[in-house]
Amino acid sequence: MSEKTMSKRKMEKRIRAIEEEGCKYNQIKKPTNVLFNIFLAILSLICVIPFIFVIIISITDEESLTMNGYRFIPEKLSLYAYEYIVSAGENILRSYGVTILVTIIGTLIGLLLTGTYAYTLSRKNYAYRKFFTTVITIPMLFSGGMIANYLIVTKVMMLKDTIWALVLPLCLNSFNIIVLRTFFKTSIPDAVVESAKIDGASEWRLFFQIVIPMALPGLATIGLFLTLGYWNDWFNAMMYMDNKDLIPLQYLLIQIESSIDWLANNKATMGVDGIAVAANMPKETIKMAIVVISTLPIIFAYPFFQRYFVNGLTVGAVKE
Amino acid sequence: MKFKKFASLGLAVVLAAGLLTGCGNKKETNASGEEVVELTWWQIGDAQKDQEKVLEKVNEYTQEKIGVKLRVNTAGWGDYNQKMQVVVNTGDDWDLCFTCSWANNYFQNADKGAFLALDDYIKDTEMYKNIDSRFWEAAKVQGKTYGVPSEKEIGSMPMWVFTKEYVDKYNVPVDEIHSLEDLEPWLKVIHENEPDVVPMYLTSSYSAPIYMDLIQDPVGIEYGDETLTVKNVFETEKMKSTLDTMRKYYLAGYINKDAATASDDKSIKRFVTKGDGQPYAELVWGKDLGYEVVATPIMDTYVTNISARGALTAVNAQTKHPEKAVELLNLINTDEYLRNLLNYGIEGEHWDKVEVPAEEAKAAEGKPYVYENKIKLNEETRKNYSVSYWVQGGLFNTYVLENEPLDKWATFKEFNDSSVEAPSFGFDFDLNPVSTEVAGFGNVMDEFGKSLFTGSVDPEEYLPKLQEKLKATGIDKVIEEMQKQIDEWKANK
Repeated sequence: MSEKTMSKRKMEKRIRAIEEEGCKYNQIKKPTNVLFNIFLAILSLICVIPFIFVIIISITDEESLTMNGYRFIPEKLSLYAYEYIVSAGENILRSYGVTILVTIIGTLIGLLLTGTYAYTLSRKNYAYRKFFTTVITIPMLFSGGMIANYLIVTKVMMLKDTIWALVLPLCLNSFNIIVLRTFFKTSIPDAVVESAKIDGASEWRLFFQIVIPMALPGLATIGLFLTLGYWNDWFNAMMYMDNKDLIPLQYLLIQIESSIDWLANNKATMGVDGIAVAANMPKETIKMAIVVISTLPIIFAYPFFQRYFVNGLTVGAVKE
Repeated sequence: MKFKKFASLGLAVVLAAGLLTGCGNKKETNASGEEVVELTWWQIGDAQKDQEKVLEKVNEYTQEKIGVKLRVNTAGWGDYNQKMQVVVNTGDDWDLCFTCSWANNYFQNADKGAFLALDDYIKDTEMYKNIDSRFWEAAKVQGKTYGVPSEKEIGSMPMWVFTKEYVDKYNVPVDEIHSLEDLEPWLKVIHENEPDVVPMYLTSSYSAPIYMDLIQDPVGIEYGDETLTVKNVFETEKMKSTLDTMRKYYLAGYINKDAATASDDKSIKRFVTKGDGQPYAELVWGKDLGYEVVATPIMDTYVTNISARGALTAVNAQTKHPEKAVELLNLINTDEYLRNLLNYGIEGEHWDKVEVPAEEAKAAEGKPYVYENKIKLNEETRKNYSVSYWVQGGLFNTYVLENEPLDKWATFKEFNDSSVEAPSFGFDFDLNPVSTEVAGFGNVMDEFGKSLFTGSVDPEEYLPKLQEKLKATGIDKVIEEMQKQIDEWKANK
């Protein structure tokens, strides 16, 4: 017993020594390290500062904003914008709900469809592999165009003004399928599939109980792509949604932005009427507050998916 | 086995969902037994919170009166063009739509047959008699009328807008100032005496006064040129001297240095700026800026195709109910109750009638388009329903607001009557033969337009550069083509 633990401890010690040895040669020089750190710190600051600025503007008092312009340290703070969104912004909150719903439903359906399609293509013994690969390669190179898409969605599928018009067009994406197919091909050894079959697993069990757990990192990546795609999508809403109650948050934002842009660029044609229209637009702080509330949830999605980005799950599954 | 079941269940759910949405498509309903048709109307502008509420009231009235129910779809200012291209080109179900010279292009849609020719339907209607004949004339494309115009100001009136405070302080004779050159002595005075005031405040949307009908920017026909010679605006003497003057002002420090890129910053004190106005525009500008302004027109107002096609409502060429659609438009343009309901919302909720001071009522007596009362918008609820008035119909049968003069529309009418028709009024340029060349103009104008107009760059150096680029884009071909078309038009007139 004690001999065993002794030898175990010895082993651990030796392993640690080897690791440290390795580290010595893997390290970069101190000054280089400092330089890299500074460089990366600046890079991440460049990314973060605009967003912090947006948050600051959203809690600035509207009046001091018009007086002083944008400032990092505002003269007067105010939560008016958020109060407005909670109290008067009924449609903002409803849009929020629509976005969340579409994102969840879409990601789930998208993962199921992409996963099954990609898995099938990754199996070498599938008879129509070539055909179905071609089928998904074509839309990668050519697109039917806006009008054709619109006709399919509204006239053939009859999805206009339904939540499915926001979900289905983004479900399957050639790029995602090919990424996932490659992932399946490289990380699921044929031997695993074969051994599961020998043990009597059906195709469904094989896929859901063997392949999916092994392919979690790949699926998480695609899941993240899909989530972001759905969360940020506004184009489908613009095309297919005339029903005000089903407008996602991003489209609401885009509408405000594009209206303001358009009014600024068409002062001459709109003349006096433009002023009246502009007066009804949400104020600067409210716009920023919408940006903040629309970004926060998606920031939390990253750590969630990160959990699954673990490598080496399949290491040791097959001995060759 | 378990997995097979689970999977097939999943598939079944997806399929069922698909089926359900397939069935969920709505069908037109007949209300209360009588035959009521539902018309879909596309309008520009942002969706209003109380729109359904107001439409309910509207439908109550229109169902009773002409058997029509209205459904309004909106697309935002920036999205309307793209949305309507899809709606029109895919043969979507719609009956009416907003169209004009600057969004959902009236001429192009009419020309390609997307809109219904209305001549037979409208000729006996009341609105046809009421609305100024020049609006109807402007609505004609190749001799046919494809839209019902919203009666408003017929010409665009570029104006100098002065801050009243300084006008009073220095006794500026505003009414005598018209041209760009007239401004000079006063800009100088302000520049010398008011160091923290920008004498001439310009923003990136500024365009120097242009004395021609820009049929296809920058090509057009000069106002008053009866020979109808097509010219490039940058080759006219007037524009050359204007640009030189702007440069002079800029170098003298009269113009803000960031004019070519600035967007309107209301906190900047200014003496004069340019605005595109209409009668009583001072009231709107003043309210927007928070202080009083006075304005003076830069030039006579001309009626052009672009200005007279400021807002129209067209009917779908494929509509099943053309008569009803025209009947509805006629009702909106002639019925006081319906027009104000659509315009301002529900009486008692969004607005209330207010008395007119006896004096004012007396002064306005006998003038056209004067109503017995003014209205006051409800500060609380107005933001739930505030649409752009001319999107739905003419302005002249709407009530005026509390702070506006009672004879506002009579003044508009006078203004319209006094506006002069540009020689090119009524001519439509078919740009198909030169569409590639025209598409290039935008880039060239973006590159040079703003900096030249605001005097930020030296025209001696940059005007030739601009000309060169325009030549390379093919402006000569466009001028030639337009001249050919306009000669034909003149011969057939």
